[in-house]
Amino acid sequence: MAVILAILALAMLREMNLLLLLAALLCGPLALSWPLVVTTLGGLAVRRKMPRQVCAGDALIVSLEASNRRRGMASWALAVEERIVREDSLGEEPVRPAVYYAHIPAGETADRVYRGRLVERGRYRFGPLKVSTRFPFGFFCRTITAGTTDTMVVCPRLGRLKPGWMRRRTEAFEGTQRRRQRHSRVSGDFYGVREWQSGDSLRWIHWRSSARHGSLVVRHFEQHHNPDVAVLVDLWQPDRPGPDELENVELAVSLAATVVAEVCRKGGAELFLGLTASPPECVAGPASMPLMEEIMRTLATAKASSQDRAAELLAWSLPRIRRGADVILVSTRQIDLADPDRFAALRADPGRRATLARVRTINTASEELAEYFQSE
Amino acid sequence: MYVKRLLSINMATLAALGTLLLGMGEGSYLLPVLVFAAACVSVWWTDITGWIRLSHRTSNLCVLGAVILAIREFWVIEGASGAIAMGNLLAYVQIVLLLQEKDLRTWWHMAVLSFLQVAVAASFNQGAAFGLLLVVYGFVGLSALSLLYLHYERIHFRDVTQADAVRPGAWLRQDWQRVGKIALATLVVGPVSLFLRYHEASPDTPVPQDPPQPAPGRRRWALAGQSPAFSGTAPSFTGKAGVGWELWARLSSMNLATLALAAVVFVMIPRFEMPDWRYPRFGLGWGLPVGQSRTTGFSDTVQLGELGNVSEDPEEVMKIWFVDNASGAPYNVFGEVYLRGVVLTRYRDGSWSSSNDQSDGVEMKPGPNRLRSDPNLVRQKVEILPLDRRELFCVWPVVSTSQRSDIRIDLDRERLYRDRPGRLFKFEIGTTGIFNHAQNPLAPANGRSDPQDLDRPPRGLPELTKIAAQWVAASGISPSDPYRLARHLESEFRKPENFTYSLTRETTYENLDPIEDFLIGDKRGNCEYFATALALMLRTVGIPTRIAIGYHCDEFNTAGRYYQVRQYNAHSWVEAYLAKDQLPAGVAKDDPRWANGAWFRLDPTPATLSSGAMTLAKSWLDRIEFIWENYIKGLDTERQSQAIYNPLGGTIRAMVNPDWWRRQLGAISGLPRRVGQWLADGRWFSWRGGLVGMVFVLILYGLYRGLRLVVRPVWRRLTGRNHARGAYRWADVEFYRRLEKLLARHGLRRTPAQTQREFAAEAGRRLADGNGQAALAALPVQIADAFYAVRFGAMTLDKARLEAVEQSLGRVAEAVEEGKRLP
Repeated sequence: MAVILAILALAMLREMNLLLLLAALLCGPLALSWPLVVTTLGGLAVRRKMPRQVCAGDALIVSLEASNRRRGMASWALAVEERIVREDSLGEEPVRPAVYYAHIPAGETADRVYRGRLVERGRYRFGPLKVSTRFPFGFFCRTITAGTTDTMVVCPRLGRLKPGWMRRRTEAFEGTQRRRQRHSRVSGDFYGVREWQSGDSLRWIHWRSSARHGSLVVRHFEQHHNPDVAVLVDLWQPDRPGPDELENVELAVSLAATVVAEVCRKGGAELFLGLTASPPECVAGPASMPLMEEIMRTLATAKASSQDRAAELLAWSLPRIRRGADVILVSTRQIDLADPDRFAALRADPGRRATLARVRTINTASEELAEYFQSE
Repeated sequence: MYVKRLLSINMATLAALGTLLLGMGEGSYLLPVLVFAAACVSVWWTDITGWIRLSHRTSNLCVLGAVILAIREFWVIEGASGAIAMGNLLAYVQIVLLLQEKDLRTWWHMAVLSFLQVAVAASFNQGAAFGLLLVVYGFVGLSALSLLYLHYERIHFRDVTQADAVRPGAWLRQDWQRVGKIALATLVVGPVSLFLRYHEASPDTPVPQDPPQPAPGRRRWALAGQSPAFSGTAPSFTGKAGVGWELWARLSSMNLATLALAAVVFVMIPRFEMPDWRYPRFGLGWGLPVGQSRTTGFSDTVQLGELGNVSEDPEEVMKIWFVDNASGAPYNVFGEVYLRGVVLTRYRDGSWSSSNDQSDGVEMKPGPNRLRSDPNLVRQKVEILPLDRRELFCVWPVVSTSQRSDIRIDLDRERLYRDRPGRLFKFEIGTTGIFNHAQNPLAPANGRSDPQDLDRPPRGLPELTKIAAQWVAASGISPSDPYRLARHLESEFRKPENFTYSLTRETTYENLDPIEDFLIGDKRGNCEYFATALALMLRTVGIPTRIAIGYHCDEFNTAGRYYQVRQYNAHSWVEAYLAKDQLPAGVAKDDPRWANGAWFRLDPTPATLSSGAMTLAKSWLDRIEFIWENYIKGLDTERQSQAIYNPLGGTIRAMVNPDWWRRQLGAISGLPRRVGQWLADGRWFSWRGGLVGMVFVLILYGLYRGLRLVVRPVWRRLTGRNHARGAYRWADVEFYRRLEKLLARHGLRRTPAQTQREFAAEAGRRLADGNGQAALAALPVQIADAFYAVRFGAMTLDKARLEAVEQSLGRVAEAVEEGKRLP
């Protein structure tokens, strides 16, 4: 614009018609760029394809499908910018991945993907998508909002349970559980189907469903061979948490999620998850993939608090936990269950006191955690 | 890569075109040729093969060299204005850029340089060809800009998608370093330093990634301290990125729209009164258009041969319109027009000069009513472009029709002057020299000087005297009939066997007077030689003569209805004095105009031939040139008012008036009635016209079909569509159509929801059921499989398979006949 004005001024001042003509010719691209930019963005629709949930830190691949619905006009040089923000974030800067479409012919659709990873668990909002172009000359930029807003749950990062975990668990259960005779690997009630995983028997494959899905699907039986498990998560942190305290919280959530995933993968057990909140939250049911998904969603949005709710969680959860279940209390701090003052109400009840004696506590702040769990 | 190649070609073309436009303005085509060669080298050897690529150091040295060369041209070379030096500098730098390895910045620089070249070229005095080329330049420029943008976006997104590679801090540091270098270089070589190359990462090459940072400490939470990171798919650099016919069509339509918009903007921008400094004095101002400091080829002391220096210059000098004095309507003048500026009377040693009487003339005042009301008076409207002379040119004798303080008339020497030279000058004056739409060869003598006092031929021209005597003797014309004698001598010069017109000649006899050398030596010369020889010869036989210098014009612009006078129209001719009693027959000797005798115009210069075949083309060129000269290059306040503002204002004023709307509504409402009348009177239809129209349409259709027949295979071969759409052809799957027809005859038709294979399976089953032969079920399926192989598998059936298909078809036909109607 400045160039045109300069030439225009010079031409008018010196009465040079050819310079004036040049300035007038420059006005054309400048004036016609805007209508073309507007036209280029007309009739565009963008659709997002992404998984419903993903674990924190895992690769996330999102496909953006842009359709040019016009019959006779192509679009060039389209930039589609995503906006990803955690729903409960407080002033966090959104992440803005972008993809570029060089050309979408009339009536056609083009796919582009962006990939990355979200490192914090939680519920994320994707969108709205912003489609922009500066075609044909880059003089003007126009941005429109397209597509819908989607949400996705970023589940806690899963870690690895070390052999120490299994050893300690075996020790805890030695003599208390009678080994059940397995008559068949597929005994139990038919529960549903799930995707094939490494280690599944070929005999479990449900061929008709596999043919329909295009991938191997196995029958899922509700088995009752494994011991029931109750995971109680005490997410405590000080009012002003430091990096270590925040880390402890994430480790606690990750450990709980890993234990839940392990139990659900094996199946054949009742699973209980209790979470410190007011009132305490709980999810329970037969260990299965749907239950795991529900628990993961719960853990994804779990918040730590500076209030001491461990006693409340125990008091609320223990009556609901099946007898004989392996009760694990994952906490971000050291908890002495024998403390008569802190757990007075529980200890006063003989039944609960006995259950309390079976509770295994794991402090994610302690070095001891490294024996059981490895964050990955 | 495709976009980059196209961009490379486009930018090279843009550079060559910009320099060509500049060269047209400068009147030199050396640099355009050089840049064109550099552009060709750049596309192939620099951009594609990479054999010739200037290093940073060499590029910088070349740019510095270009600056020095331009400074030398500006200060040292005489006659080169600042604009020329600047234009040349731009071309030199453009060549350097062309031979560099290109990145985005280089291309941007090339585009800017090219645009600056055009801007400089626009400051020169350009012809209509400039406008036509500017349209081409506009299209190339738009496509170059668009390609540059598309290329930029892809590179930008490649960098964005490599998010980890983006290092804002590093970029900032790098940029500041660059700014510092540019600032330093600007102090040394000026703004040209922008085109120097600095050591920095090219935007075209990926930015090197930061080495992985060591973790600050061992953390137990694997994701501690990490932030979300995303990247898009890097844009592909292998495809065409949508650069195809559709993009070119879009840009072409945009170019047309740009032209339309530019036309509107250009004519609507108000012009102001033309200041004198619009055409600066000679040597002042760097923007002085070339050619405005031109000389006209005549002066008070014209030396023989001088005119040849400017005779080939097509530069415009002036325009002249003729208007009927009584009606004010354009007045057509047929034939050639002689516009006199100066008359010269004294000849010495090859040089003509005017008399010694120096007079500045008198201010132009309206002539006597008697003359101004002469029914034969024709008004001349003259527009003289800036010249270095004060003389004004027109058809003589003149009659002033208005008072002009800036014009002076010297009746003694029959000259018109203006007060000062060097600016665009318009004036109007009457003449009685045009009669019956042709210029009269006789002009009344004013009697203010005695023609008999004109110089006799100087002594020492024996050859001239001898030849004149021979020609007179051979003619047998009496010396007492000067009119016929003059005509005869004039015709002798026009004979091609005697003399040849030429702008160049060689001196044969050094010791002779130039005119004698012309007569007996190299008998070639320009109009000055011819006019001088005839004038002196006529003097030897006792006829007083003088030389008239001016313009001889035969270029009539039919669109603008004016005579266009150019430098090469500069001319000299002879005026011979005839006393009252010597006037030719047919001239009313008792007319008071001839009381003092007359000057008889003689033009001994042989006429040049003009091609009649080019008349139509010339007419169109005239129109283009008229529009260019008057409504583009010469659009000033007056013309803008007349052609744009006044009509526009009139229309707007009319539209405000309700009567105008009533008239329009009346016209619209009466339209159906008029159309009805037109149809009813039967004159709208002509059998002959209908027949011609039908034949015309048939011919057009035939041409279309014929062209289609020829063009389509070529187009398919060029675009590879034969293969792009697969090898499917209707004839190749004809066997399947036969199957469907066969089955359809017996009541089995494929439904829209059925695929060919499903239909074949169903048909096979029915055949098998109807005939009780299970083997028949497979036959239609075999045919359908062959159809799929051809139609969707792009296969061509070999002979064996075709035979198998034919056999299957035959068996199906037999089975159908046996079963008659399928169940």
